[in-house]
Amino acid sequence: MTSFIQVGILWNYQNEGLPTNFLWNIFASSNKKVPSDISDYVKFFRITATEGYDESHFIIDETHEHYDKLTNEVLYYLSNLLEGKEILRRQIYHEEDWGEVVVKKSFVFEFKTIVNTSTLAALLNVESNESQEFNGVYKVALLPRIDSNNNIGLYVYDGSRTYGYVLPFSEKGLSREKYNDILISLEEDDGYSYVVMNEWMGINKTPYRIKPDILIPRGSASEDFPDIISTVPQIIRDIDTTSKEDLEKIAAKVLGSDKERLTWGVDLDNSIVFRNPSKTYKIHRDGLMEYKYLSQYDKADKGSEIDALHRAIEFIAKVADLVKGAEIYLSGINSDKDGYYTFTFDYKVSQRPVSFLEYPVNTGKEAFINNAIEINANKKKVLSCYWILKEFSVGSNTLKVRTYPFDLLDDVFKKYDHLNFYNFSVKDVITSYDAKYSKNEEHLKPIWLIETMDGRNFTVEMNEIKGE
Amino acid sequence: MYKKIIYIFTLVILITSFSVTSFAQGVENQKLLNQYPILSDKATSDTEQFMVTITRPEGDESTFKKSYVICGNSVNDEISVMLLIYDNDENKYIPFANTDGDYIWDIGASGIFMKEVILPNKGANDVRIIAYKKNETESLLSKTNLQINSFKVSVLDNGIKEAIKTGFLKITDMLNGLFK
Repeated sequence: MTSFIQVGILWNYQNEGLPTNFLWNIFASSNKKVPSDISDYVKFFRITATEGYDESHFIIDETHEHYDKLTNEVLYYLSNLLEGKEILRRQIYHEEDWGEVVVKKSFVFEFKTIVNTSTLAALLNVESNESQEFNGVYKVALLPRIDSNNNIGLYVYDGSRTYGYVLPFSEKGLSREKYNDILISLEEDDGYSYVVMNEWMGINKTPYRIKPDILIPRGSASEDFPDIISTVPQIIRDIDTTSKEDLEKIAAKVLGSDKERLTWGVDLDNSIVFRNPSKTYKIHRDGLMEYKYLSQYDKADKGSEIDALHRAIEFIAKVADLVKGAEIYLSGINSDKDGYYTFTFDYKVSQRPVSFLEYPVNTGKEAFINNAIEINANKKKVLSCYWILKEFSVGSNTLKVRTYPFDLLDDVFKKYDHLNFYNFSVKDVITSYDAKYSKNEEHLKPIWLIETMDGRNFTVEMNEIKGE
Repeated sequence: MYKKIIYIFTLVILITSFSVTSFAQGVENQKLLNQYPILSDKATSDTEQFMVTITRPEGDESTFKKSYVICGNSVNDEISVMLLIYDNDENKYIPFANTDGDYIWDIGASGIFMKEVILPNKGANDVRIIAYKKNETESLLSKTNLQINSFKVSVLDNGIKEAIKTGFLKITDMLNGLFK
C-alpha cells in the first residue's frame, strides 16, 4: 500500500505538480475540467450564397438574419449524411467539379481547415457511418434546386475530391422557396458581392494552379472596414512584476487550478515565468504566452483527432477570457506529427479574420508562428502552446479601403520577386487585418492575404481611400 | 513665398511631364492602329490564341450586366494587349477603354490580366482582343507575333433573366448537362 502511494506521489509529481495533491486529484479530477464546447471553436469560416453562374456571390456573416437557420440546415443534412440516412443518390467527382458546384445556385459553407469526419460526428453528436467515402469535410454546398422532386443537393469537398449526394428536403427545415427568398433578399440588399475567380479565368487554364472556388470582389469597388485596435490584455500590460499580488492575480487568470503548484519569477527579458518540474508558462510583454509540458510523453497517447482537440479546447477555454473583442476559431489541423496533433486557432474581429504572420517567438525552438494560437496536444494533454493574447476594440473611424482585385496577382509578383509560375499557386484569397508584434496599442491595417497550396502566405496592402 | 512659388512650379512641371508622356503614349498607340489597318479591319481573320489565352469571353457570350470583365493569361514575356470594339458608324474597330481608361495594357508578372469594361450596347457588342510582342511593334505579323481574336458579347435584358429564374432549369444547367 505504501509503495502504491509512493508511486502515486511520484507519478502525480511528474505529471501535475506537488505530491501532496495527488489523492485529492484522484477524487477531484472530474471537477477540474473547464466547461468547453467544441462547437464554440469549430465553426464555419465563411458562408456564401449565389443565384448561379455569372451571378454575384454574397457573404452571409454571423450577424445576418439567416445565418443560424442556414447553419442548422447544413448541420442537419450533414448529420444525415454521416449517419447514412435518407441518401437517395450519391456520386464522386473530381476536385475541379467543386468549381462547377459553387457557380450553381448554392449555399456554400467553408471550414478554414479539413475537419475529420469523426470530429464532425462528435460536433454533431451523431455516430459516423464507417463506410463514408470521405475522411474529412473542408467545404459543403447545399443546392436547393438539384432536381424537380422535393430534394436537395449536398456536396462535400474534402480538399482533393468532390462528393455529391441527393437527400429529401427536411420537413421541418427551409423549403426550396425559402432558399429562393433568401437569395432574393441578398440581391435586394445590394450588399458587397464577390465572384469566383475561375468563372473568369477558366478551370486549369491559368499559368499556375488556382483552387476552383477562389472568391474575389466583383468589380472596382471600395469597402468599409472598422478601425480595429489591438492591445496587450490589460492584466499583462499593467502588471507590476515586483508585486506578489499582481503575479498571483495573473497566475489565477492564466493557470487556474494549476497556480497553487507552480513557482513564479521574472525572466531577464521581463517576461513572467511560472513553472514546476513538469510544465512551464511564460508570458511575454507583447501578450505572447508560451506553455510547455516538460516531462516525457508517450507517443502511443496520440489518440484520435477529436480527443486531442478536446484537450486543446479545454486549455483554450481556461484562458480565453483574457482575449476580449474577438472570437476564436479553429484554423488548422496537422495530424502528420508522430505522437501528437498540431491545432491552430485564430481570431475574428467584427466578422473579419486577424492574421499574425511571421510573428516572432524568440525563446522557442521555432522563430515564428503564423497563427494566434498554435497547440500541440495528444489525447491526454496539451504538450506545448504559443498563444498571442490580445484585446481588440473598434475605434471611432471607419476605413474606406479600395478592394479592386484586378491587379492583386501582379502586386503579389511585384512584392515577392522570387515568385514564378512554378512556385506559386492560390489556395485562398481573403481580406484580413494584419497584426504585428507589438507591446503597444496598434491600429490594424486591412490586407489581402493570399494562401498558397503549399501553406505559404503572401500579403498585399490595401489602400485606404482618403478624404471621402 | 518663394517656397510656394517653387512648389507650384514643381507641380506644374510634374503635371506637364505626365501629360506629355501620356499624350506621347496615346500618339504611339494610335500610330500602331494606323500602321496596321488589319487591327481595325472587320475582314481580318482571327488567329489561334498562340500568345495569350483569352478566358473571358470564351467565345460569343451573353451577360445581364453592362459591367463585364475581360480576362486572359500568358506564359510569354513582354506581351501587350489591345482592346477594340466595332463601331457601326465608322465601319471598323476602334479603341475600347477599360474602367482604368486604357485600351492597351501590358500583361504583368503574374501572367494574368482582368480588365473591367462597360459594354456600351444593349444587345451585341463586337469586341476584338489583340495581343502582340511589345518590343516588336515595328514588324507585327499576324500568326507570328500578332494575335487577333474577335468576340460577340451580348447584354441581355433583365426580363430574360427573370424568365430564366422563374423557369425550373437554368440555361447553363441545360447547356452543361452536369450532374446527371
